[in-house]
Amino acid sequence: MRRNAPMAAWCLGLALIGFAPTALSDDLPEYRLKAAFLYNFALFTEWPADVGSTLNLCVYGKDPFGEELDGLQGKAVGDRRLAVRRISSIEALSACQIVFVAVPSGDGISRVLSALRGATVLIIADVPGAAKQGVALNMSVVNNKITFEANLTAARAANVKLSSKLLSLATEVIQ
Amino acid sequence: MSAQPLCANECRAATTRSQRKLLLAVTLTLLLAIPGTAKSFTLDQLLDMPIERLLRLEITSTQAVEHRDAT
Repeated sequence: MRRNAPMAAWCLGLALIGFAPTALSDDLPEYRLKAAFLYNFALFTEWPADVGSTLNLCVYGKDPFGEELDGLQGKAVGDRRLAVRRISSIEALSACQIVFVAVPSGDGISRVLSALRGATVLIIADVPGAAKQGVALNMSVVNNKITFEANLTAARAANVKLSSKLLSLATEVIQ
Repeated sequence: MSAQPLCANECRAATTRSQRKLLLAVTLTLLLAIPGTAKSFTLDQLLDMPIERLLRLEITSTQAVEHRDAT
């Protein structure tokens, strides 16, 4: 019995290690990765010179990012810095240079697009079909990976310039 | 007669030592070989990555759309 103890311990260890990949790999939540994409979208977008030294990154609606979004607070984007804001009033969106629309339906996106028509703002969403509705960058999850589509016409109308590199990585560019 | 148990004790001790070393080596090898540990990234680590690499990463948990309501 005593002689078998090391072997039993080893078998138990092996069993625990067998479960370990699941436990250890369960550490890249969707919205942590999407927060990193938000930052990269900001890096690869050009705003007019008259936009100030702060880029207000606003989440409109119920924030799906949680504390991950707070990690972007104060991050440098060229000569500017990101300021994270959570917005519940559509009128307050006029102070934003980047808006992530956290709404579940196309109706909510239409309201935001109407409210921000003519404003200098990069509008981002992760709702199927949002790019075709007029959102400049729309994220999707395909095979557990993040992809995005770009609406170049919407970006131009919003007076922001998406870099050619960003456009080359998009799954679809609507012109 | 008296030398045999002594030899047996020494042999058992030597065997136990070598078993322990083998167990340690195998366990360390297995721990290093776990592929899942490479998927664990903090936000700061993700922000330092080029976007091309972000596009290749696989998420491990998704959040339901019903949690995201406009107010």
